[in-house]
Amino acid sequence: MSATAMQGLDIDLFVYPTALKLASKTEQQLRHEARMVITNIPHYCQTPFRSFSVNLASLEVCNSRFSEKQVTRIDDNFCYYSYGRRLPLDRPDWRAPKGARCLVKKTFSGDVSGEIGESLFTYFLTTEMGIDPHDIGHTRPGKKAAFLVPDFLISDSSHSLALLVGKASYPLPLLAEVKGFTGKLDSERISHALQQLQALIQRGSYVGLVFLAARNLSRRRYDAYVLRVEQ
Amino acid sequence: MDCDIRYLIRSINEAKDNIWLEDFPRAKEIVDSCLEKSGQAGILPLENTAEGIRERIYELRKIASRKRVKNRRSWVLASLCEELTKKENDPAKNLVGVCVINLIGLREFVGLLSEPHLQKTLNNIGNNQKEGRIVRKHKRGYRYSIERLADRWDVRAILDKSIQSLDPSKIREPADERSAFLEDRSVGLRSNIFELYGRDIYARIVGLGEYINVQIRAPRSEDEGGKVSKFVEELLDALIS
Repeated sequence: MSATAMQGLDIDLFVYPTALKLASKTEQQLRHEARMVITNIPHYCQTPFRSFSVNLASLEVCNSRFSEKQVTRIDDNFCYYSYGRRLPLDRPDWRAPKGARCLVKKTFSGDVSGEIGESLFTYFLTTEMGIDPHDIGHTRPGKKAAFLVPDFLISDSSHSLALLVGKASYPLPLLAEVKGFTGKLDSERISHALQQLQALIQRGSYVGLVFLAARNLSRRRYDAYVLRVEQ
Repeated sequence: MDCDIRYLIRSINEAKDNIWLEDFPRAKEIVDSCLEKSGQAGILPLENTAEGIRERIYELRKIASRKRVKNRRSWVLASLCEELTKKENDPAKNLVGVCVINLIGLREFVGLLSEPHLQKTLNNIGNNQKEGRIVRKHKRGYRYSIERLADRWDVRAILDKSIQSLDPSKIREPADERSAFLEDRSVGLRSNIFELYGRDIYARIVGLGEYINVQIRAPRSEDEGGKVSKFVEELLDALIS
């Protein structure tokens, strides 16, 4: 499939109706909350908050500006990423080193799905919600791990996300965690996102968003879900 | 505190945009100025708050390994959350601290990028020598850089003035002069894409606020670079008019 055959990508974005209250919840309670979200999504998320078509060239601009894993030109390769195809690799004639062989066995990288999730989120914020790209911070310091920081800090001083957050005004910055899924939604990963936000929200009266971008193979599109998280 | 975070986020983004444009001196200026102002505002020491939490996360990971905790990641976050609540730590200080660390990292990164002998990439190692990206500053309110790729020209531009989105009607005139056909491909609140089909040139213009990426395909000729640069300046002049 050539890249030109796939110029756009349709997204249905749903907002989970109830805000998740995280204050003083234990690890097990958060896991239960994540499992409940997955169970409830088919019943509660039937009318999309927004349906939009993503232009892959704009998505690539969001990717190059906001994501961190150095996977470039997702517009050119989206057909492979989106359908979970094995990327055509140039295999050398000589035998690959032992550790490197996993590269040619891997059919899809979690880094790429994360990259697509992060790019879709920033695309949605700028193109659909009108957030100034300057106010979206992807603040992980380089590749250093283990900082207590969400994926995104959004300093939306004009409160353009009021409809999404469900409040006319909210403390800033908004904290957002993004998870990309190539298969089914995974409650374990959702509970990680909730835990990450809980540590920051608990004392700071912040509001958090969890953005889930899931490839929908049967409908050949992506479904996105926004969970609102409060103290 | 949000005012600090907002200022830091905007400065980090501005520095990253200039790295994207490969205007490293400008990126360095922005980072240095932001760090200086942060020093005056007394927020630089918050770097230690963020580093302290990070160190504690590493300690908790070690404890989890020693105790052979089944779900290590969750256990570490839950324990940390409990500790932060007890200590009444202000998470805003941690967030500001992380932004400061990000800025310090960017200063180091820009320093490395500015050294010419470190600018080698996979593309220009070995036989695939290629020309680098050329940054061109322009008087009329924009800066752009241009690079020749294998099959096209890649242009990145930043307009000096803040705009919501590009106005394609402004390039109708230069398009008509070249007998080119202009087509809107996608319009969003802060982004848009349009394509220009001419007899001797094709361009896809992607705008995200004041940031513009142009992909140009033109027939090979001796002065192709000159023609492309002239065309780019015509486009950008029209867009900022």
